[in-house]
Amino acid sequence: MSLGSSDTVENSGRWPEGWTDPLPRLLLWFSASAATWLVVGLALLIVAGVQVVNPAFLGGISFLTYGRLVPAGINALVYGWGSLAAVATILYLLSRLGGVTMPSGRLAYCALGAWNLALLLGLCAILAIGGNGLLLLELPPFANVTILLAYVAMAIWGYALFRGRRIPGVFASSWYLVAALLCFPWLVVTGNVLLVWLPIPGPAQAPVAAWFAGGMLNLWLAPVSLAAIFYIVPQVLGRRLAAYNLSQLGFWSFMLFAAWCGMGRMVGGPVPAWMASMGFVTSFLMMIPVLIAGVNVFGVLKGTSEWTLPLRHAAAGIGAFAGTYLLAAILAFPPVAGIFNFTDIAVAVGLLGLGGFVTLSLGGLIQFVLPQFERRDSLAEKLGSWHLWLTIIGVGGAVVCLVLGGILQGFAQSDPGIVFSHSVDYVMPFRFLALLGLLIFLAGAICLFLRVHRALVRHLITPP
Amino acid sequence: MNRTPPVIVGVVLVFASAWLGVAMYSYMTLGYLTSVPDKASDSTLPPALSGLADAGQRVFAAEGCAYCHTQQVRPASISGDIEKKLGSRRTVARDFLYQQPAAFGYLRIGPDLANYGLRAKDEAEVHRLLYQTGSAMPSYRYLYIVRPISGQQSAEALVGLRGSYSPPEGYEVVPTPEARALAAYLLSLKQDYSLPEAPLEKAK
Repeated sequence: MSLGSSDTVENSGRWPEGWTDPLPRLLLWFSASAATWLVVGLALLIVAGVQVVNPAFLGGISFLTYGRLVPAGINALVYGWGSLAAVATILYLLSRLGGVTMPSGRLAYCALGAWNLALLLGLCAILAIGGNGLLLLELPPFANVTILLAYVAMAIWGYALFRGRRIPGVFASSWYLVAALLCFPWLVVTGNVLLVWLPIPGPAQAPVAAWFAGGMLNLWLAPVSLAAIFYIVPQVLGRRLAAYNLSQLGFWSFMLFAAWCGMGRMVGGPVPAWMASMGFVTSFLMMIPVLIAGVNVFGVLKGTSEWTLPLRHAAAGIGAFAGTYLLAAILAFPPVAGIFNFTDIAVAVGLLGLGGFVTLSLGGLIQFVLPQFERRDSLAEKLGSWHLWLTIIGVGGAVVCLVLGGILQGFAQSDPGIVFSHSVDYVMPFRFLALLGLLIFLAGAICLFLRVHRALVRHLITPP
Repeated sequence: MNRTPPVIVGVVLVFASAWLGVAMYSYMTLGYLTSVPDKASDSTLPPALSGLADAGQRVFAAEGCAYCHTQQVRPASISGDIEKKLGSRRTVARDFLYQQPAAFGYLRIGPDLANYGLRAKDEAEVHRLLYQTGSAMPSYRYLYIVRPISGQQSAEALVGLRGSYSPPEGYEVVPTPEARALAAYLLSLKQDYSLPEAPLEKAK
């Protein structure tokens, strides 16, 4: 097997003489955009969350109604925060793992500008005229096409970095990065063509829409986040992953099941029975890659005393990864899905995946790279550590509240003796507490925003 | 570069299997479902949407109603939906024949709407629910116009509004075309007929 002997790679001086490596700077700019979208998306979702608790809040204003704030917020989080951080992670890690870099970041900066502008206009369009009711496909076509083209411009560099690598072998992280690199455009084109641009007939839409929305986490953001974790841990500790040979099994099982497990949301729904069964079975089998990743990461972490910030991020990220897929597997189990599929527990799965797993892992990589721009800045380190803890407390607290509330909600909504409005009353205190959790999460996001922007400003004032 | 092909080829194969299995299979089978003849009414099922209701489903989609309301009654074998009288049979793919986009819904922050047309009393009640916040649902006031009454009050003016929602003396609240379309769509939501793959069931 031609796997690299170690995941710790020292790259400095590997690229040709005279090249300056544009990637750390590129990652800084991408992080600045991504962190901004994280704050924007969370703020939109929190306003929407207040409306769930108090429907009269900002009531009757068309561009601030719940049904427009939610798609705008989710799209800002997925296409702004998650995807931009993921693209930067792909380029940065493929460069680090391959010992190569790009000659110039110009194309990537143009793509970043186009992506940001398209997303901004797209979100304004959702707020101004509404979406189309299809999760993660609400952005107007011009925005999705621009984002896709910007992605292709950067993915070409990603592929070039992978093909041109100078360090022999392929690391565990690289598999996930290459997989995500391929899946994103395929998913986005499929979803947009089949559901928005040349929509297929209504009866066929439910499975495709559920698969697409699940795929954006399972096949795009999740693999990149895992790659970030599998890079950070050995890099910080200078040790190999505990069960490196298992990693291959972990990767292929993850891809195989992640490709299908989005259908777990459709158990009992208007889809062919075998598809719902596939969704349930693969959601359940996701426990295999979860266990392997856990063994791998915690095997290395066991007994370590060097708890640096990126390492804490990685450990929390892998915990959130396990929690997300465990909760999703339980929720897809047919008797459970029958009661709880449409309750706040489904929101908890999304929040733990996007807010916990993706945010902690990609945030960890950003915080791993940032110090080189900061020159031992103690406030920056504090902001970084507040980001970590506020995110863990906020997301963790909100998830616990949503699950507890969702359990009550599910039983109340299944009980023929309880009218719907009473089921809402039961769950309201939990939704209020979950909202407080989201506010804490927002405070954590603002810390990341401040840390990245301080580094950026310092970098602009005094370039190296 | 030794291991490039296996990783890329493998990922493409794995993704393609799900892509063919979900996206293409759905398109090739469910995408070709047609309406079925109904002997009793000498028409076809599911019933086609009226022009107004067809416009209304676009308002339903744009306002993001599907983030809080499902339109899926699940089978009695796994859920209490039928016992709860959300419908008299499970929702199947064919029920979405005339929906574009299919508003199957993600969450039940609000009640399921698969059979809302059977529960709603009349159009006036739908408008009242949309206009004033009386439940967990936000107000869709911006889909309505408050205007001075000229001569006689309009026949479609909302009646029975409470508190701050009732218009000032000499004014009336009338629905915009969007609100009328949305109400027509909501009232059209009825799955009270049998389909070959989903006969009507009785609550246990």
